[in-house]
Amino acid sequence: MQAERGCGNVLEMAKMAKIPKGQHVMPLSPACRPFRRLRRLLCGALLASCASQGVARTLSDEEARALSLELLLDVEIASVEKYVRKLSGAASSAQIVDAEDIRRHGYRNLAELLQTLPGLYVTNDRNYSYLGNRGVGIVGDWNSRVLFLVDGHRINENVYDGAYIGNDFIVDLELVERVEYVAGPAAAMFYGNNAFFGVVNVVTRTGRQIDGSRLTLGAGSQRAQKQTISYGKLLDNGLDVVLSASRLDIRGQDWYIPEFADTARRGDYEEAGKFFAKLGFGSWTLQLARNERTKGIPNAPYRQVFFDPRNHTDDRQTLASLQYNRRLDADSLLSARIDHGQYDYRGDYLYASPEGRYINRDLAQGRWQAGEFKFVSRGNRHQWLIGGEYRRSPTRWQHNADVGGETYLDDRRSDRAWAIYLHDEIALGGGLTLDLGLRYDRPTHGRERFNPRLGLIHAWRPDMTLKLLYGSAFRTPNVSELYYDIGDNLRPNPALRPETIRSLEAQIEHRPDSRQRWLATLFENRVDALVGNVYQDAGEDGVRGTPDDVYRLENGQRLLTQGLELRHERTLADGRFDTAYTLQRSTYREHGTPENSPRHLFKLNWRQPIHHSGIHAGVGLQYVGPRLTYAGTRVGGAWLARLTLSGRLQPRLDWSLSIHNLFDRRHDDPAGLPNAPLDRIRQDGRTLFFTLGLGF
Amino acid sequence: MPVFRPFLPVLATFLFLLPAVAPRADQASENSLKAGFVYNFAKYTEWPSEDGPQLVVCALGRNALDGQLALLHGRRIGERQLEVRLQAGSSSWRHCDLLFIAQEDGERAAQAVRSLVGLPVLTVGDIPGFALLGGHIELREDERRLQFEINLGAAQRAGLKLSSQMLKLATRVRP
Repeated sequence: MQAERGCGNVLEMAKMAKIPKGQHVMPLSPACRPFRRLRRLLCGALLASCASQGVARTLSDEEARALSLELLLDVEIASVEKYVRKLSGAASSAQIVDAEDIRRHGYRNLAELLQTLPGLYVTNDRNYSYLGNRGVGIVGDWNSRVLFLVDGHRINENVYDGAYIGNDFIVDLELVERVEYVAGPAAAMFYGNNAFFGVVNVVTRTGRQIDGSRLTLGAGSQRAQKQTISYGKLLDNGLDVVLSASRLDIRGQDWYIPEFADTARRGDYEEAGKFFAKLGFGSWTLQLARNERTKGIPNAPYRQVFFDPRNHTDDRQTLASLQYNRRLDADSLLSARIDHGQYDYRGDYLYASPEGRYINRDLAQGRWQAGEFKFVSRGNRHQWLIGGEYRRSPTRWQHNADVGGETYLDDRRSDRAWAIYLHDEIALGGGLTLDLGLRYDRPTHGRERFNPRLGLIHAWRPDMTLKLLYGSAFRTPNVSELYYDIGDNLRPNPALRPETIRSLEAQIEHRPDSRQRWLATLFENRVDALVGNVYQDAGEDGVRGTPDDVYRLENGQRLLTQGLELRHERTLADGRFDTAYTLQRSTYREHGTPENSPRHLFKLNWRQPIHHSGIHAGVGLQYVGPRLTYAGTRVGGAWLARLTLSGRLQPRLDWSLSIHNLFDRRHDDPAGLPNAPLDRIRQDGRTLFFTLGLGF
Repeated sequence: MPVFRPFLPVLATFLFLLPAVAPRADQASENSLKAGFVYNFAKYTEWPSEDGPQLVVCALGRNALDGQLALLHGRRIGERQLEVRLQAGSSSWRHCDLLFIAQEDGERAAQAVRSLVGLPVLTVGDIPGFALLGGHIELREDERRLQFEINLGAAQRAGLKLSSQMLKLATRVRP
């Protein structure tokens, strides 16, 4: 039965078998195969002939209602929204984690969730979390090479172009309906700057989906406490409302740091508060998200004194947006949005002078507004999209001064950028789809840019699809890389040029049945003019290899990454079982292997109810291979396991218990250059977290 | 990127002048497809007592599936003829053979499922989480196509026999 699925036009098949229209149509025997082959031959010989051939078409409602179950499963929904909803067009494949996965695996923040996806690894320096992908994980880039979106709105701020994905992420995971991730620059077509190695889109739930109020209380190791209250409802007057607030408080652990031969007591604390509101009415959606976080830093980066509990960072981000989605007719859709974003950062760093310790205070402030539109239309064979965006940054401000003392930096910038793009998915017939796109950018920095994208999809057999995708993207240096000059040993460079990436990806997807999917992907990324720290001189002490060595940011580096990714996804009776293995190699043309670039990654995610107990188990297993640090030393590979049990005590009362790092493995992440003299940072041992949720 | 400049005219030509060809798979409106599924679910279900010439299909809303459900009225399954009743009130649910609960009526789904526990009424819904809630068949979208999930335990407790053919085609069968 399987072999017939997707075999051309179902009605044509019915006609061939002389089954009267309107009657129950059964799938045909292999008889349709020769016809299909013939058609494909013809199509190949003369493209235009496919038009009259009619390989597939839009069915009338009457025809659709009369189909058999097998054929119904094969017909696509004709809808222009579906196309818009897709993150990045047909030629790239998104990985999706849904609300059920989040609940059953007990993910506490976005970084933990992303860590479980194929090819991704998260590096934590006990202040911020950095997402590594496709063999590149640059500690200290604040994720400026990955674009993060919430409901399609960019959340990367405009000072460091950073996105914060730990407990400092702008939305609580309890409000998330699904998280989509696309690797490579494929999605850069639609989103531009910073969508360099990938795009993560977080889709929040609607009031209708939440449908009620909920209070969640959580507590766990390291004296962690969390409270979330949320409300969502579709009101009778058609207004869809979501309101939520949450608070997190972790006292943290006392860390002994061998390099300093001392313990950071109460230096690892974290406090976060979030607020989220969404109002939907008809074509309009108004959204407000706010996050505040304070984090103590136990490892004294930037050559501070060790140890002073006053060392901390404070990040606050607000995003307000208004979105308009309107269907103009059955085949076209207009979507427009305006955003206002605010980012404020404060970092207190402790240094010693003959008069005693003093605080050096680092400040940044970003304000931006953006407008965007997309127009999508479907024709008989084209699905095309035209879009544009305009972004102004009235404030990109960096400031550094000693408290009650000297000011080292007061740098204020403002700029604007705009772009237009065009994308088309063309069905060539014979199972071939062409994916074409072109984007024109007027960036804040550097000259204008064209970036193309070219994809080819071939539904080779009903259970087998081949995809080929080429794309390019760029990233403009942020104001910190250009102008953050406080006269210390890490130097900016106002002459930096944008980085560029060209990427080629080939993928085979095999679906042996409706519950399984195998994926094999080969990829190659070529990065030019990658911005990185380049050694200048030995600093004040004249000895190379000490923390006061002077580095400057330069465009010098060319990076080549090649890799293979194998994935298997299986739907279980009431669960999922996914495994993935990634083999990759990154090399700098100038000087070998980059830091924090594992060769091997393995992921396993399994969730399923435990037999007849009413309890669900979620098991996660991850391996990150050995990685180099900036100092050239090696951090060993680590297997980490996570177990989450969840269930319901009463219809309105549910619970979950997560054990992270189940076997209490000691493991380190490579540290970035600012953490010198540390070259590695110890990560958490086994931790527990328990939650109780009450719906009312 | 100057390297690509020469290709731009080629790209533009492709985009707008490509000869007419057809989409790769058949397409149809979402609601007509869903109505097609409902008909098939009825076809592949055996009720404990199949007496009476009518197979009663009920829906909560007035305009279920944008009118597509009502158009199943009069179609035959073996000896029995479909009778579609719209705007079915809660008191009449137990007299239906099949109850369709659309997304628009999502807030009443839990009530309907609860009040029909153990009764031979096949409940079908296109609400996310419907099968988890105890509904018998949940329709859902995956990328571009429709799929369905079966809560076999709930259907068996209601005395309904679902054909193995249908179970085989389900994306997921909850025990």
